Amino acid sequence: MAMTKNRKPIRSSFVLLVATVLLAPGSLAQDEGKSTADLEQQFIAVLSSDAPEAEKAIACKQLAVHGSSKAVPELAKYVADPHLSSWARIALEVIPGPEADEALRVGAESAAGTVLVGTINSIGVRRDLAAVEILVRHLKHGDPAVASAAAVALGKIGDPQGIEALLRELNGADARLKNAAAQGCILYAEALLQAGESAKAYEVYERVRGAQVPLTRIVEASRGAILTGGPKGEQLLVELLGSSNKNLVHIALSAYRELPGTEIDETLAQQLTEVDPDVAALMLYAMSDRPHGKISSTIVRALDQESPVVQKAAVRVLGRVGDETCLPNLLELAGGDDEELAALAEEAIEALPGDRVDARLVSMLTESDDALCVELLEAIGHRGIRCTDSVSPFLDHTNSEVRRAALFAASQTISQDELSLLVARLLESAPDADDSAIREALRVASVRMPDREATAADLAKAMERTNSVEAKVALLDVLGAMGGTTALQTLRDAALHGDAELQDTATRLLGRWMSVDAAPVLLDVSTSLQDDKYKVRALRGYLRLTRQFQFGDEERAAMCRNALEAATRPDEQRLVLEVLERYPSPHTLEVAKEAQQIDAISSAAKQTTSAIRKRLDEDNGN
Amino acid sequence: MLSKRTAASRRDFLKTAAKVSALAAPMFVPSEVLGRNGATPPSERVIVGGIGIGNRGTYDLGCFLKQPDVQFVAVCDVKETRRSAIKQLVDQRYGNARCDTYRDLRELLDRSDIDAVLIATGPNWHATASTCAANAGKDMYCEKPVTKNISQSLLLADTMRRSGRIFQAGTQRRNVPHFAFACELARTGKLGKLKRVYAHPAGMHAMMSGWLPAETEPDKQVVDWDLYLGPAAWRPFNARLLDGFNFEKGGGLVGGGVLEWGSHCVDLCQWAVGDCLPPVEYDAPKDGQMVARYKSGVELILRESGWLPLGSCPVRFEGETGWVEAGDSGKMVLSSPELIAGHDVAEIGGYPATFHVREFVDCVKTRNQPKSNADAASRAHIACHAANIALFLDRQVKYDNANNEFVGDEEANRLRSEALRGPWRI
Repeated sequence: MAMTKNRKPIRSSFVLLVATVLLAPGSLAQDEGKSTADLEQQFIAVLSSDAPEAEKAIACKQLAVHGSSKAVPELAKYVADPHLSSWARIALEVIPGPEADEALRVGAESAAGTVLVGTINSIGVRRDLAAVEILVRHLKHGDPAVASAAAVALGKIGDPQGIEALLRELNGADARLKNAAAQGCILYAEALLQAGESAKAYEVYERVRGAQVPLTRIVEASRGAILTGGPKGEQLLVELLGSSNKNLVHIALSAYRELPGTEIDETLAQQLTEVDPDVAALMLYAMSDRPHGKISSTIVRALDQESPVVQKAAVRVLGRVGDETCLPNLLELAGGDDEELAALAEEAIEALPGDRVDARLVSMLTESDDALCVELLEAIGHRGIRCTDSVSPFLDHTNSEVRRAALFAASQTISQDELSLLVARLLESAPDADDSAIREALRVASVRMPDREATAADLAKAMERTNSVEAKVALLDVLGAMGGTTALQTLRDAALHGDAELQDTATRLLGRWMSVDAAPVLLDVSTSLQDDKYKVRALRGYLRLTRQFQFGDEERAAMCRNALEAATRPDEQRLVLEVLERYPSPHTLEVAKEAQQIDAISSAAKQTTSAIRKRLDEDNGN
Repeated sequence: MLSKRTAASRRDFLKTAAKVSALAAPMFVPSEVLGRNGATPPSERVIVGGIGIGNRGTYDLGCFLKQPDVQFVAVCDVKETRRSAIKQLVDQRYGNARCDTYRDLRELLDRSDIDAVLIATGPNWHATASTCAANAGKDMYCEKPVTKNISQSLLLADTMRRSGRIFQAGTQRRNVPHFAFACELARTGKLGKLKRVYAHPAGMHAMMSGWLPAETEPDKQVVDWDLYLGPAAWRPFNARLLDGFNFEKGGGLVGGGVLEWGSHCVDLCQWAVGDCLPPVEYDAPKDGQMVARYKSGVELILRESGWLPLGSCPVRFEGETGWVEAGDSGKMVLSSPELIAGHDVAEIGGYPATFHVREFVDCVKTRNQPKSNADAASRAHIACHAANIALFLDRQVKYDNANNEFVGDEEANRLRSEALRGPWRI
């Protein structure tokens, strides 16, 4: 794999770098066992030389890892350089100590334009208290981008003198600077919030909210005020939910999701009927992100609201945060006339979290009418609730829809020991409306059983117990879907020794088999059977495996040779040639040559031989 | 008496209403956003712009254009050819000539009518453009990898929280049914107590970025090289750097496979462990794999490839009682078929983003957090970056999530961030 260590000398690495953009990993680490101090000195020397910009740039990057205060004087020379400034700052931003701060401060006094902006940004990243005076001065810089950068950096540093300056600028005349000052204030307040100084933070947020600044800043400050304002913050939250500005509604919802405590949940529960239905729906979604508790009862109550928007939102979120007490309401909706609401309710029932939901669904089975039984059985199936004793009586229900729902539930929930429930029904059933449902249920249940071989053996025994050809065919279909050694052997026996209908089914299933272990079985069947139709089907199945699956060259060639020997018709012989040509190798070349001896395909085999030889020559560079 | 609507028919109804998956959090086109005859009222449409729409971006854009409640109105790209191509594509879709074009993302973000943006620039720009978008009050779908380093990952999450914006990372596997199901099995204890999660990011090596010899710089209207570089350190124009797959992907530490593919498969491992904080320990690579450990003791193991032929960069989750492995082929292999009982998990191969985009649009409307939200993406990317740093330094590193720093490792800590070129900042 590629995780190799490649410790190349830095010079040779650089040549590679210039040529290919990317430098191998080890070459940037401690090459040739040099100490960090030696490496640092090496890169400092590059910076102080007349090396090309490219080399100096990479030296800066190296010093970001290996540099110390000793490297700062050389790095400082490039802080105001239009090309190398950001390379130098890559190192200066991370080298600890006052020397790097000083270098950036000097740069902040000497650079211009975007280079100056970048330098100020780096000062902000380092939170250099000593730079506050310079930054405050830069708030008045003629370049608005510089003044804005200074404002944001002051906010990050959080020094009182700088914050006072920012608060003053909130009321200034320069719109762009006001925006940046608000950003700085919000970053400062954010740090106060993180430090637990909510009252101070709230004050700053409110100052921003009261300023004539862009809406995005008002939005951010509103979130902060809600989170830090205590009762005043909650009052603001309620107020903003009634706002006609969707951005303010959205930030209120966002802040609600973050607010600790449960009092606010009760407050908002009362608001659900007061606000616009669209907002009420959004509030329900937000409630589903809160710790649950009383929330679910609030959402259940929302189901009774007239607004379909609110109802649907309530159903959706109940699926995430509801519990067993919601089931009656959801089941009623699931049986209702509103198609979408009913479908959503079914989804919610399936998704409701908790074992108690399972128990409640099962217990309701005995006290429900037919329509509700269908809903319950479907839910039991989708939720995978193991309750065969409760489900099995419904397999014999007089109502066919209930029977089918019970079959679905059984298919998803019965254990291996209980599979006989479905097998018995398959063996007993007359071809009627339930027949396909029983087959499907048995297939689904069998495929998911953990012990595939034991299940297949049970089904094989069931085949022996019945005289019904239809049942045998159905069981073969299930075995075909399952796969595995026992299923394969049972299909082989049916193909070789069954009556015509079983041979038909077994060869059809073998022909579609999806693993290579069917190859010898298919060859055996194709050479043993007398009936041409089934022989050909088996041989084509064998060829499909030969063509589609991974084999070594020699093994695939041997399979092609087998197929040629088994084939009695030119059609299949030509299919063999196609496989040979598709996988050119010395082995398939030999088989193609042998095929030239078969009169019916001699000419085609010569072409195949030629094509394979050509491909092999090309591969060999001839 | 039975209701005339069977359960099956109701589910069909939901499907026709564009429900795409029953797994994990619901995705839907709420009927309430659709007006009569299925048309979306203008007031309910999400107005979207695109920033940096190349190959993957064009695919993503196609997913947005399929949404009935999305109106795509503008594209920004530093390359004229792409601006024109995307305008043509969008105009053709809508049968008009109204898709506006911009060279500078700031101009597009200044538009007050745009609700959300698709960010599909090179990875160099992702976090910076996302920050610009959030500062401009836009929600955003941002292609992965979404950050260049640990510092950007933390700042991205902070920015989205502070601004209340909806952020969806382009880690679309979280909305691909079989991947979602596999993660759900792990997360909900169906595999027993989780022991190991495996990510298989092909190409596990860390690299550094650099530059190529100077070529004549095109006119800004053709290719705006300064804007192409954006927050990356300056270097001269060279056409080979345009569309460079790895150009400044990981800042100073170009991510290689751990970032490129890890942002998918490590991300899924993170989801499988409940989007908890990233691992706290990353061993030096050994015998073709790297072992990282979560605080819970669960191991995150990075390997070049999976055991089973399930497509590129699969994931595997092992618990005390079962396991599951899934890859991009859409296939999933389980330790026991019983694990899937009762579930109909669609097999969708490739890198489909339609469901992921749909979830994003839903979340723009409901303000729910999408599955690939900024916090989740941040944690997954921190895991990738920390693993890359261990690869690069070729030694074990320990990460302190409380202080967001490596423990006693100055070199590793210096690799957590990288200065941006002015005027860009996060």
